[in-house]
Amino acid sequence: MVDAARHPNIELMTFSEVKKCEGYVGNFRVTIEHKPRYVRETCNACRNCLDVCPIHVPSEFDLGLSYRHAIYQPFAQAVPSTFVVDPKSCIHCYRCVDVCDLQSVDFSQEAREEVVDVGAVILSTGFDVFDPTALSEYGYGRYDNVITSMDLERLLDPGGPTKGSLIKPSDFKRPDRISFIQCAGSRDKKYNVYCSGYCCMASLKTAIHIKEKYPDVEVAVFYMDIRTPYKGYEEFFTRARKAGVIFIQGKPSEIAPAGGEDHLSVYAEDRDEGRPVEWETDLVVLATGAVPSAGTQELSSIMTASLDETGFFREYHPKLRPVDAPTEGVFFAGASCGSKDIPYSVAQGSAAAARASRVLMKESLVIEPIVARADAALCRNVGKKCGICVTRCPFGAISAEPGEAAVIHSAKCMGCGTCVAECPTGAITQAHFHDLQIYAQIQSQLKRNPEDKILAFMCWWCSYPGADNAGVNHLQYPASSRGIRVMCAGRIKRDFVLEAFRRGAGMVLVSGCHPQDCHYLTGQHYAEKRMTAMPGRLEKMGISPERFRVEWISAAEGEKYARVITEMHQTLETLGKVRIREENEAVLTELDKRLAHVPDLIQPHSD
Amino acid sequence: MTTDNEYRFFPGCLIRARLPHIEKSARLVLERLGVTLSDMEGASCCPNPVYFRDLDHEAWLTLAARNLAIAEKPMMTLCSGCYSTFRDAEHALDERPDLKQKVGGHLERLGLKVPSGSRVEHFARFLCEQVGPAALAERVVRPLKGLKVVFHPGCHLVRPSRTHAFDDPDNPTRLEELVWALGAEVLDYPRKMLCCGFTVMGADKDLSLRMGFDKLRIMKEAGAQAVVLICPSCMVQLDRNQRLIEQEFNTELSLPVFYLTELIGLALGESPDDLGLGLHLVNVRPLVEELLGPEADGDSSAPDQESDA
Amino acid sequence: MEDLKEHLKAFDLPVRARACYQCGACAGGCPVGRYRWDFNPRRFIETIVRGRLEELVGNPAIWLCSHCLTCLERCPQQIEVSEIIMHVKNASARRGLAPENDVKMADRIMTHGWSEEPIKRILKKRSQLGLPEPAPGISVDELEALALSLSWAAKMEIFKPRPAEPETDGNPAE
Repeated sequence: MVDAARHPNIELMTFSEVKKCEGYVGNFRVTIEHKPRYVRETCNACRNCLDVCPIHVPSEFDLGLSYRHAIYQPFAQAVPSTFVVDPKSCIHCYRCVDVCDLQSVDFSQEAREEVVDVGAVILSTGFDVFDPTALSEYGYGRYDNVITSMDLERLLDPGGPTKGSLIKPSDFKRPDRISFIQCAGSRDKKYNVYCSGYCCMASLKTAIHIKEKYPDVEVAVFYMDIRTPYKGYEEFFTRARKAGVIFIQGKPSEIAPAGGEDHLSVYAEDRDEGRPVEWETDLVVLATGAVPSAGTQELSSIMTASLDETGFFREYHPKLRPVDAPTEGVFFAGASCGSKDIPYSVAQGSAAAARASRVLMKESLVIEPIVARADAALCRNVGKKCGICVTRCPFGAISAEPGEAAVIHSAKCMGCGTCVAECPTGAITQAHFHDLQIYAQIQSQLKRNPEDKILAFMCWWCSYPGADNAGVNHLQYPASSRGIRVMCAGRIKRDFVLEAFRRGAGMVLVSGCHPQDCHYLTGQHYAEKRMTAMPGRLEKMGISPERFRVEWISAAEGEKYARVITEMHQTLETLGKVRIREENEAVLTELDKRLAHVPDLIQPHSD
Repeated sequence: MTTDNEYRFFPGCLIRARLPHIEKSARLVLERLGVTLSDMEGASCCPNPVYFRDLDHEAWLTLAARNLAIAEKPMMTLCSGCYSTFRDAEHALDERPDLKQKVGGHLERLGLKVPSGSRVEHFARFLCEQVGPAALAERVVRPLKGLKVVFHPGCHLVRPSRTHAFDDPDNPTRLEELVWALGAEVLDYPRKMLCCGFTVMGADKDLSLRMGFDKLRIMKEAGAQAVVLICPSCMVQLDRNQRLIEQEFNTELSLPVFYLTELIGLALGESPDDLGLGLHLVNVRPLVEELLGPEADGDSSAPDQESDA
Repeated sequence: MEDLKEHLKAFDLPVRARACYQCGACAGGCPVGRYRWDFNPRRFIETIVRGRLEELVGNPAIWLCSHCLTCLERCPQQIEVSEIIMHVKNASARRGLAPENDVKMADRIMTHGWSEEPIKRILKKRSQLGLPEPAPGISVDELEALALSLSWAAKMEIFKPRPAEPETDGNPAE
């Protein structure tokens, strides 16, 4: 920490909060509020003020197990070492002002805003520990001797409230028996569904430490599974068993005081024995997992960085881009995007730094030209509140201030085209995938014998390479498909499908990535929603709904593509050209009216 | 208090057949608190959420739906078992259109339609939510000072917590507030949600008595002078069967068991006679005399001797 | 065996039991399981998940469940264990394995409307306490109509424990 503070290229801003972040990759403008410490940097941590401050409040760092004063240092190794005054508990007696030899206490300080320009942002906001008070069957908060693993860490810390001596909160005496309960509130549909990944190792570490320091203390661990993957962890588990730690497989159902004495009973099933046990113990340690750190919600709005179902930040792709946010130039490291342990977090720190420096070391960034643009003249948000495009973009690339036209920041636009398809007035266009270009392709593909053809809309990342995969693998399927490639299924407008039928297509296929695999995160989801009503609508118009299909095909699923086309071809033949032609003719007038805005773009076939 | 205070009184099998004093104290107290209870003609067993439902879910649901259908007004029940049946039945009818259809078919033959909307209240929940401890405290004329009790919530008022959504299923305290409002002290005790064991009496008598014994023992160890509860099954197990338990485990418990309405009745100034306190198996007379002092009424508070397991 | 599968499928079994990861929280807090080790809700769910429904249905221990709902509340996968056991009991009843007491009580309810009637002494106490007579319950006609609609007679035939087969000495002439 001290090295980081001293490094010439690092400016440490403590006691500060990000209030606003505008701009885009390479050009972020961040507004930061520096809160007043009421103590100047001249403070040399001499601690004279501690002797005179009359206020005692529970210490946050020691989790309420000890006290601090209103003027304090969060912990002895805090960087910077400058003290701070807690305005909520300070009574303004000013004794600290009087006693400070360096006149460092300054109650005239005020909050100060600073705007900085940065090229990249890394969010490494960590996690908070789950509060197990909600687990009333375990009695945290009711029974003194039920504590969390974090509480235990403080007790065992030589710099902690007991100077590292292991005591029971009820009487400050040494416990003879300790029980760890793993997965307290974790892997639990009622609280945190996920596994936090560090608690098994953390409990093993503490258990071994206790056995080494106090060999006579009985240590039991109640668990569902002991998760010790990767390097050295399994060996560590063996070490714990060899150290005499008792492992009982069985999630405890409840904890209750044992017969009025200062003991506790853990009620669990000992699965190895196959029967319930009432395990008497003195101190229960709840190994609780991680929850998103406080302020994550606010930070998510400030940064336009979305959160996943568990409330942690959502990374661009969990395997392929694990430290990137969907927004270019924003990165994650550590538990901010999901609970993880120390080696994993440290590795991510390096990764995020490397990814950020890619941005910083360039004079300019080359971005794909396939960006969207909103035409202010057509944008509905000017007259009436809209903003649909803003909600559809997972990259935060669009802003639509009240009464103003939507603006798409090309540096943030990833080029999926979902906003184009979702805009109710058609005000948004996509470079290189303009509606007219796509209509021209539709018309061109269906120029000759359209009734024999399956027009397939495919996405660049999954279904098109899926179709390609079929070819590369020499998979046989009827030669009736004609493809139109867009960047993402999200680009596919309903009018494209209708235009295809207007031009006489026998069958139409809309395809894209599998749900959760969309390269643009949510494009597939909106495409799916958009096409739900299509079969019903076609049927109403007089087109057999089986002439339309939606399939999600991955780049590896050449077999699936071949099978889908084969099936669609069979349907085509079953329906027969006569019927298809009849249906097309019957529906032409209505479609012509609906698609009046779509011009004839290619030369009609002369045959 | 709600303005809508009219309820159909649903007695339930146990209270109707064996525990008239509970019905008496409940009627007294509820009417004192402004509730109008009208009798429900044509009711049947709710039916039993354990013994009957364990045999045939469809028949159980049908009989429950029928009771709900003929009630016409919201029902007030004194039994957690009946409450549980009616709430679970409503939930099932809501969630399962196929079951609703089946039940509808059966009810049609009786000229009835499947009911909908929440139509059942448990008296203790009503007291918590519609009356409230503060309003109750205002009406107390005889605070139960010095009385140390434990509250046995029982299994079926608070659980299942996802559908009943009344209180913490592992450490419920809302009902205890009603007892505090009467001036008594409610002691905390371990494992308060332990089942009393009534329902397993038929399957394993020893087990049932053991479960009852665990409860009473823990309560006594916590220093309780009496137990307060809100379900007649628990009442039978912990009061009527207490003698059996004492014999089986060769111990003396002599722990009086009160229904919540009985304590409320006492605090509101009703006499022990009027409340029928003499019908308890475990003698409550010494404790009541202590509480009430020389005011303690009459001598018909001699306990009855039979117990029916 | 088929009707058993169909009956349980109607209540989403075994599918909803499959989320179980055998943590044992249900068994750990079960007040019955504490004393009767043959009653283990975790094992019961495992039996269902493994597809050995008939085995579970034939296990008389399932009838020990007190329906206290502790397992249901403690399960981290929110599996409604007590409810599942109840449906298995239904299936077990259809195999004629329900306890006699339960069957008798159910019969009383379907025949008389209540599980029991107050004896004279109780009726006297009622009037002494100033309570009204118990309101008239469900009519016999309605009970009969319900019994008919629910095929109750046929069910009772199944619920009643079947008498044991008379023993033969193996002589085929018998």
